[in-house]
Amino acid sequence: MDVKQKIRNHFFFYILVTLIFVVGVFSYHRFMIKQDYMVGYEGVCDPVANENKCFAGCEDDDCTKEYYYSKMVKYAPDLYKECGEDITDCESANSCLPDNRNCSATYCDPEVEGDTCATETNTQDDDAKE
Amino acid sequence: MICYSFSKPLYFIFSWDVPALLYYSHIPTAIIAMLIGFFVLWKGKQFLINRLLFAISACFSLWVISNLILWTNIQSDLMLFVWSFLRIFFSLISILSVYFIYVFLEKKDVSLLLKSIFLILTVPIIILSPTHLNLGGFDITSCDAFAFEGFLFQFSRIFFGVLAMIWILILLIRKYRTAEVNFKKQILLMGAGIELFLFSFFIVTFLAAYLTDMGILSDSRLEYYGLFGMDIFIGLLAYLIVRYKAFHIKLIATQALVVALVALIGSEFFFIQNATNIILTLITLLIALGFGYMLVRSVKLEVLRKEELENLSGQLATANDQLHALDKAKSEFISIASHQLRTPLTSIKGFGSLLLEGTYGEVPAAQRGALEKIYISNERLIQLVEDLLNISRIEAGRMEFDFQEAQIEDLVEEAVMTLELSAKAKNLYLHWEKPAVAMPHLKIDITKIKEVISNMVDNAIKYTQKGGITVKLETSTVWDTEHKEHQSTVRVKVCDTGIGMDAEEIGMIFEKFQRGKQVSHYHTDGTGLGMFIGRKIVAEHKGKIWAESDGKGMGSRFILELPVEQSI
Repeated sequence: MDVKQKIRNHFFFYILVTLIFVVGVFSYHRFMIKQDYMVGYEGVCDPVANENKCFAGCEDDDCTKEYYYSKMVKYAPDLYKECGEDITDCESANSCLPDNRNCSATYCDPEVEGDTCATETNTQDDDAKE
Repeated sequence: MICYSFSKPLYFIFSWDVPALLYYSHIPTAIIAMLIGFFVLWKGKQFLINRLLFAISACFSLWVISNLILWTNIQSDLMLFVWSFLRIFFSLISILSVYFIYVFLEKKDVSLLLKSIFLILTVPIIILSPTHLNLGGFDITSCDAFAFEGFLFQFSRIFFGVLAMIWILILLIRKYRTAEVNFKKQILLMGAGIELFLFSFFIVTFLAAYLTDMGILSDSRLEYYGLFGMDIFIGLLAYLIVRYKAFHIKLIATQALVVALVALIGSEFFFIQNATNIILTLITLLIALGFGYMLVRSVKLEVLRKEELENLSGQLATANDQLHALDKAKSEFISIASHQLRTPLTSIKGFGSLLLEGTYGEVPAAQRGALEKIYISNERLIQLVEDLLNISRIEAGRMEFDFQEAQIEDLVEEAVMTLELSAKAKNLYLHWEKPAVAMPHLKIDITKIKEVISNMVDNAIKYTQKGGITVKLETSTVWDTEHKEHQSTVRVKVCDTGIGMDAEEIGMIFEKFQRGKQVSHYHTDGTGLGMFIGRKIVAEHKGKIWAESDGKGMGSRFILELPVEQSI
């Protein structure tokens, strides 16, 4: 079998393997080096300061304790610059800063079906428990 | 970025945040699929179907490993990098499955057009996978990227799964209709295996992701169960390999079975907690390893022996064919040579006869003797050529018989009368005991049976020095083993007071070119063909011919038996 015939017979595999390799390099560059992606997370939200606009979530299965959050989305390089790898205890992560690209903070809307918002009652209950 | 709600994995894939079932469903499945793929490739990398099965197994294993990394890791950039390959593996598994089934059914590569269609379907998915159309971001709270997956890529997952399943189903049904019974079973097994695999893999993983994204499920651990479809597929493949020798390999199923068994037992270590269970599982694993090794070894030996036998059988068949070809060539050679010899001999006989009869003038007495010797020698040569021609006709199955109704007494009488002078010349008596009652009519080839009887009497005269020959006829009844009934026969008996034979000679005188021991002392010009031809002629009449003797010097009896069934 000559080289031309071999290529003709196996071009399907050659094209696929080459493409996957090239795409793998691109993917590595985008995600691992440039970190060109958005990061979604639950930002810390103060229900008193935000007038019942925080989402309410349960800390355990029996919902003995609630926590309050806003849905944050930030560009990964911006977030990394502000907080490093771990956003825990990073105040800047909880809000969008002026130089943040495509940053968004979504708060709870009681009229949206499925959203569980923090209310005055449950925040007071939590305070009483504490 | 790291998923702050989860802990860092140990050795890259071991995490306390995931259920143990994850390891049980992922690790053995990935190992078995990869091993099957490598085994199949190793045993027949020149076969396209083997390479395709390897490619499917490799893509599936890579998907499973990627999935395991995604379940256990917390590094968002690494997870997105791995996540971006999931759709590539999905599309490749589905398209390669179609390609695989096509080659399995048609036993040939697909057309250039079909290959191009495969590429058109998969290339966009591969090229766009590192872009925002596939993945836009990552949720570090839930530690997944479902919310950031592009619609087209979400859609592609179900699109490829359904497309592959329907495409394969159509191919299977079309081929099943026209296939042979044996191949139909293979189609059913392979079809069930691959469709179950695709269904469980695509549909279950799609449902898990979809329901998680919808918030109906808290996470996508439902997809663990989808991977077990691969085990079913592997099981059916193993059965196909053993039962129908698919994929040009024989040992693989046993080896795969042992590896699967060991991998399954080994994966139990992820579950068990207490020391007793660990020890028991360890012992079970060691026993499985030991027995597995012995099983693989014994199957290997059996396969080797079978292959040796097959080789030997093939060599024997080839040798047999060569022998047949040689025998045929020899018969053809004898036939052609005999024809060429007979023409001049007939001419010599004709002109010799004319010379002896004095057609060309009176032959002087001194020359007549020489001429008579030429004539007799020529007669012997003609007989020899005739015998050789008969043999080649018999062996080529071209001897023609003209069965007619005949009275056997007439044939015997003619033969006796013809040879009476020869007996007299040797001072031998030749008694013909004609039966008082007429024998039944027989349906025989008169010329050939007369030739056989003449040969029997002629031989008796040749090998008798004193005394004489008695020819008689008798009827008999024998048990026909073929028809399980009694059958009437007519026997021609030629008894002489000649040199006789021992048991060994009796056994061989009807073989080709075989003569009795020391008969050349009495008669030098025999070829050892007369009785052989006689036996063949009699066999065509469903009769028998045999010799009897009380020993050396005690005379012989040659008996020709013809069934009356042949009569009308």
